[in-house]
Amino acid sequence: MRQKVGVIGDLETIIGFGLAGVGELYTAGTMEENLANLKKMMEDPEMGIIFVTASVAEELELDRMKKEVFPIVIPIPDSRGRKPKVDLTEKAVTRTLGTKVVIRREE
Amino acid sequence: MAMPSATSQTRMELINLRKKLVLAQRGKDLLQEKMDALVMEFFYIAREVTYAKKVAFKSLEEAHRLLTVCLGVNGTLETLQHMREVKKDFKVEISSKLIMGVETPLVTVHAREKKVTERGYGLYTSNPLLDKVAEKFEETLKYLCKLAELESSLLAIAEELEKTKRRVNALEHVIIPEVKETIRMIEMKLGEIERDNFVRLKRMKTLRERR
Amino acid sequence: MNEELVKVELNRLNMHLPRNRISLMDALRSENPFVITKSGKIHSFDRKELEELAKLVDDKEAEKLMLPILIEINPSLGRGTARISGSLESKVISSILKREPANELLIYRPEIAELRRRFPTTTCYVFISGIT
Repeated sequence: MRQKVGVIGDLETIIGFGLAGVGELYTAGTMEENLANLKKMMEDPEMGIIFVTASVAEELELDRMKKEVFPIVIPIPDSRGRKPKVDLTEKAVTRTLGTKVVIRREE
Repeated sequence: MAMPSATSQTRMELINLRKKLVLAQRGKDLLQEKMDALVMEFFYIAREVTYAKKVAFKSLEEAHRLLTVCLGVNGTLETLQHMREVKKDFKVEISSKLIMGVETPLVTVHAREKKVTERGYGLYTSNPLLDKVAEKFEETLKYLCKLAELESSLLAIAEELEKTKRRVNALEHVIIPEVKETIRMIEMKLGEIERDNFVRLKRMKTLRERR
Repeated sequence: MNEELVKVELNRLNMHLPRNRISLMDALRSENPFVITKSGKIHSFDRKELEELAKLVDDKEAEKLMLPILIEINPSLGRGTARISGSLESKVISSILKREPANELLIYRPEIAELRRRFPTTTCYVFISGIT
């Protein structure tokens, strides 16, 4: 049963998610460490969702990584508000349409 | 039975090829309709993802702002210590739903157990500011889980869409033209054979008439 | 040749269809209403959609309305056009799309989009090829 949620990020992100009850917390370190931790979580059959902060997502090239549907991996902004350079949704939209388009939903 | 002539064999081939052409064209039309339907689903979800992302990232930003205040007031080490004491019982339930036959994730967030201290306040820690931060991050987490469901569903649809596109293209630009070309060549060949036969028969007739 | 591949693709097109459909009434009564698809997957119905549909029919009709409602895609109808068969189904869909009721309904892309947006689990595409 996939129930766990995991995070790789800067210290503030880890503290915040930890306070919210997330169990699998990994502070961002070297690229090798981050990759190893990500792989470890991805191989865990109980892992459901993994959140990764922007710089880690970029260095690991998450947008290019071939992966299964589960666990779900989502890049998130770090504690300074820095967003991931490649937005997976934007990338998928551009690919589908063949050109870059801004998607908006009326609120 | 006499050996089938070159002509009738060729004619059989032609009939089969024409059937293959119809099949391929039908296939292309249907896959194109499937593509249209998938594109519709894709854009609907894309809009939902964009909105959900905006909401989730805004909430995260606010949560971090609160946390920065908390770190200033309580210090990093103390906050970290408190965080370690919080029960790590946040759980989600992951199942799947079908969108046009594509299996996409469905994420359900479960409410956490909140302990109330003897004083009657303190949901996760004994510090009200920390609790506020915890609550805000928990709210953010809910939005992020919703985002996770939506974005992963979008990517699953995108993949199916790509697959379908490739097949339509293969049919439209490779298979159908090839079959059409083969039909054309066979029709030409058939024409040649018939002309040869005609010439031969004519010559035989002429020879017979000479005798 | 590629003929086999095309046939395989055509078969795959409708694998998401349920092996059996259930009536709206049965779905409403069930705590976890679902059907099994031809490919063996579970397709669940969303309760809110069921309740929306229930508002459009009386009890007797709810017993007869089979779910999911099929949106027929047939290339001979032209690209972007779909058909709704069945007088009860047509009645329900015309209510949803605010159209004149008829025994059979042809719906167009924007209407298909609206239908799929509001009733994603209780409607379903069926691709008709005319080739067995």
